[in-house]
Amino acid sequence: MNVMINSSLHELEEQYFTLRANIDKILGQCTTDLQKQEVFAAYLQSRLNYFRGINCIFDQGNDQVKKLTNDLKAAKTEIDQQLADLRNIVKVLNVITAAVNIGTKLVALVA
Amino acid sequence: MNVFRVLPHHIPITWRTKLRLILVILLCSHLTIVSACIKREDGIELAKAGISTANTMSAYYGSLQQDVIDIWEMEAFLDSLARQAVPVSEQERLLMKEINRERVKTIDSLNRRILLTHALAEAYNSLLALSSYNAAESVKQSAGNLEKALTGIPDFPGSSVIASGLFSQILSDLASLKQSGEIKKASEVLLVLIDKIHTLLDQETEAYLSIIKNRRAASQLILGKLIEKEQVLALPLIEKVPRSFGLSLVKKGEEAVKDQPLQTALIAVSNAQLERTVLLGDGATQNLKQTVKLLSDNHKRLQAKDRISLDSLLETLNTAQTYLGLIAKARAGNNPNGGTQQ
Repeated sequence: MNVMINSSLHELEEQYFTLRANIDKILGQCTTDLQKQEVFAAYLQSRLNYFRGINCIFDQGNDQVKKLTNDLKAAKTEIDQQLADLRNIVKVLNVITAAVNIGTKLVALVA
Repeated sequence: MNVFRVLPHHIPITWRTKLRLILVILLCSHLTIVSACIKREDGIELAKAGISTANTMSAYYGSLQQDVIDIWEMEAFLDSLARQAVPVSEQERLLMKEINRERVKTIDSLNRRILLTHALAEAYNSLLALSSYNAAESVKQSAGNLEKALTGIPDFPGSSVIASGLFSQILSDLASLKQSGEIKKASEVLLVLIDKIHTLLDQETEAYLSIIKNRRAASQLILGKLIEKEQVLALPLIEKVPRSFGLSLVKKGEEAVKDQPLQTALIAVSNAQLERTVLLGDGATQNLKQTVKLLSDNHKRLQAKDRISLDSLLETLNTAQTYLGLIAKARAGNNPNGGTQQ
């Protein structure tokens, strides 16, 4: 089996599936519609990155791909930490947006 | 075997030498005929295995395509529940458009792979025709069908493994074969294609498995929400247990599951079902890959004039088919009257 664990697609998938499984909880902590729209936009961007990842093949030997994939993995750990305590929704939103942006940069390499 | 010993001693020496020569020639011809027969028979068996593999791959890609469509619908449902009355921003609208474009791209890519498997089946039909009889006309027709199947297949996005020009080359190579003796040449042409398909499967396995996992995860979320919101009946999920014992549950009128432990238990049962579907999907993927690999190995044996051995191939193919059948059944929702939608 030629599946590379911790490959780019795997990290995009991890991020998106985590956000999808927790979107209700995150939205529930938002105090304004604007915040909710920001959360939802980041969530949709993560979904878009995931589907773009499905439709392309990453060169796992490429240094930039490797770096962004590692960054994505680290960012997922941060998301997990934030999900454990959602009280500071502004911080949560910042962490999610930063993590999603890494995914966007990663898929832009092969788009 | 010493052919010289079988000649009676009363035959004069010069005649004996000539006869020996004739016997050697006859023996060689016989061996050539036997070898040709073996190849023809092997060609037929290999072609049949190739056609079955191509058809199973087609069902597999069809199943993945259905997964992508299911995910699309499930996510629309989940989005609607999550956002409730929050207005959709322009940025979100644009993102949704982009996402849908990507989904269509995935569906199209899978469709191209289905067309590829049809083309592969046609190519193996050519091998079958060549192996069965001197069938110049039949091969021409097969090549013609292949051409039709390949018309309009664009490049494979994100993959340079199978260039669009490859098919034209294979097509013209196959069309040029007219004699049954050219089984080896046909097999050689098909080997190129089957090795490319194996590389393609290898490269894309992770994406296929992710699609299967995605469907499972989305289904789990939806079911959790339905149960939590008291929108499901326990009956359909658990009634098959007494039914398997020839019993039926007492119906006291339709009422949603409200009992917390029962809700948890329902989620556990459905999770087990979904988990099984993922394992079956993974199994189907791995067995198909192995089948294609074994197909390639057998082409190489044929090229080397060794006897082919299809037992392992037929076993992995059968397993892949069984798993795909079970996935289709699970998708039909364990409904005893459910269809066999792939």
